[in-house]
Amino acid sequence: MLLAELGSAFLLASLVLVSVSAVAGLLAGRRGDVPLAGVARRAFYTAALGLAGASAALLAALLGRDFSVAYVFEHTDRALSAPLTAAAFYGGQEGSLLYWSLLLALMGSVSIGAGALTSVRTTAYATAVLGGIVAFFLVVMVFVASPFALLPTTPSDGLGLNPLLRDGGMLIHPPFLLAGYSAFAVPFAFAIAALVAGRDDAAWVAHTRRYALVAWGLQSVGLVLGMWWAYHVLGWGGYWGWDPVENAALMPWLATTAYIHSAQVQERRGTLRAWNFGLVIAAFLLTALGTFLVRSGVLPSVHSFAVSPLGPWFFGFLVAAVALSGGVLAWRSERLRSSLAVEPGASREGAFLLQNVLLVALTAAVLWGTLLPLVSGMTGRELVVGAPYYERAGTPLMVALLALLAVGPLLPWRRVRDGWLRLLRWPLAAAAAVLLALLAAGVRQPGALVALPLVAAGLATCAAEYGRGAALARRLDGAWPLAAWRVAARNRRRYGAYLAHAGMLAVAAGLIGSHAWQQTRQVVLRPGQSVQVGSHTLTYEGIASRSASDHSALVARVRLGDEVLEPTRLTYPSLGGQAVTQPAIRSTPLDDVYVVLAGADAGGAALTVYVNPLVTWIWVGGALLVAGVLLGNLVRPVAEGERAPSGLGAPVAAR
Amino acid sequence: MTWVLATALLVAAAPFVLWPLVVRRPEPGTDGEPPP
Repeated sequence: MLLAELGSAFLLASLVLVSVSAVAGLLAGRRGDVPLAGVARRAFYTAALGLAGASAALLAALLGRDFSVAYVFEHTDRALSAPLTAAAFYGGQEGSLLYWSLLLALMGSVSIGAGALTSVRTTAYATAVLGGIVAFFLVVMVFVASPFALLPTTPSDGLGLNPLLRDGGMLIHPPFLLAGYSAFAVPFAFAIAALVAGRDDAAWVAHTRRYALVAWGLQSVGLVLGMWWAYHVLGWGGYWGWDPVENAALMPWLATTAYIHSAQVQERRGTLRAWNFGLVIAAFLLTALGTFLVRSGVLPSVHSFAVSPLGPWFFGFLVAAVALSGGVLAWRSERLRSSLAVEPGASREGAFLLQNVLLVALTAAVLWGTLLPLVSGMTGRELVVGAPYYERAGTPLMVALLALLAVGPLLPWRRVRDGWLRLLRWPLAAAAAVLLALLAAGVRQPGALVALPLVAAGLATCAAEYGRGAALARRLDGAWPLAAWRVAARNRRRYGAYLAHAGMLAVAAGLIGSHAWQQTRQVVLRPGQSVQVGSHTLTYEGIASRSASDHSALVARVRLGDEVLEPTRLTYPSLGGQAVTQPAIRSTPLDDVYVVLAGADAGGAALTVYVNPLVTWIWVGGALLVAGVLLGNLVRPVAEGERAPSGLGAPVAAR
Repeated sequence: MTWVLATALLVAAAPFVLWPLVVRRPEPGTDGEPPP
């Protein structure tokens, strides 16, 4: 009871503080008032502390099983393990709002603390925007959906966490995805602030880009973990279902992927300023849209929170964010017009521009597919599109992006010089070799025959660039490993980018392989009977029952070579007999054997067996993607002019 | 109770938040930007 009062008090105090921060930031920005800007920042820091206090109160209530708090009652029970009880913090609507606000307040505090060292006035505006966003979440938590609402009587036990969420993935996927979602507000705030203050110079591009990278990195981890979790938990053999909520998380990631590339054109050539501001703002608006879709229940989704009273609030927030962004962009449109045009034809900036157009087209296709049920529903005939729509719309764009990954990094800035085609010899050779190998292996699917050679070409481009760096290191004084380290360290943004590209290409290979060559069989087997799926023979050996504190489990034994796989079906009596499957997966770099137990009785076990080629590449590629960005960018701000060593004798490569 | 606790928290935070106004420096705009 006291914890709930304390938590509510922390929320209320934080609301007052962020409101002070927003108003003081706006006034300080307008007047150039340094002390008032200090007040705005300090109020924001203190609100972050208040949100940390509220979070601590909620965690204490959860771990102390204080069922007088409605949120604790609705999302936990006494049988739930301590880590999952703590994870219930972000497992429900109200708690996830608190978690989101806390992360935004913490990341916002770091960003405005660093920003104030560059420009007090612009940071004051950014503080005002961030304060406004956090204030919105606090208003919702204080007046509409409090995580500290009390029940009239205290029940002896809670309702428990949704069985699908009772998994180790719950401890890692939502924290990253929610962190990514909240982080997109930081580059947005600095973009709006830079526009209002009229600061669109290189320092502010670098500042905004850094926080866009943080958001992008967190969202990348969140997306890959989400795919991994869906694959390991949901038991349908796939990892991406084009669910509205998945799409909502993908769209800001796509827009920011475009931005972190096009920002380089602005850094190098001073062009695309309005476009870049537009991308950062669009990424945030897409998160606001996603939040509205997830939390209002307007679209059916496996992820949706129950239909809640929050829909109109989030819709209002989305409309306000669109109006603010559109207004500021229109107001500053004259100023953002650049005198330099992007060089036409084959050049690095041309490649970035084409990549941006493709990514924006992909985002638009996903947006249209996501919103179609909503838009068509208004006309009285609701239309829903599924995976075939996304695959038809997305595949040509993905193929073009793969081709750009192979060619783009080899193109020089401004325009190509004579003989640049020679640079393409390694990617072309790799593509030809893979194409011939696929044809020789009997592959005839056009998609795989086009896309996999492009993946190989992209990997060859990355390898060739690393090779050229290694060759340069050989020509330098001193021991080669040390020289190679110096070359890599001096150009880490560039080599980090190639690592990220290699990761993305590995992800693409996994997506292509698992789509082109997935095999499935549904069988009912008696003990001793076998089934052949692809090149794998699985033998059903029998079934066993196990019970735990909150569920009973039916565990099948399926032999695959020397291994025994145990697909499981869990039943939760306390949740009305709700059942969930736990697939058994045997992974190798070549393929996954994925076995789902659909049911079992005296007649045998009903099993669904999938063979999913190259899925492991997705997880490894995702890790490389994030590692590349981390190694290349987040260690320190990159100095202007950090580029390819002059001795390379080749076009300046990607950074 | 909530309001009392929230007020106490705000009172506790006030000295830290308002300190820059107490030691107010005379000239605005220390970051090389002209005042608007």
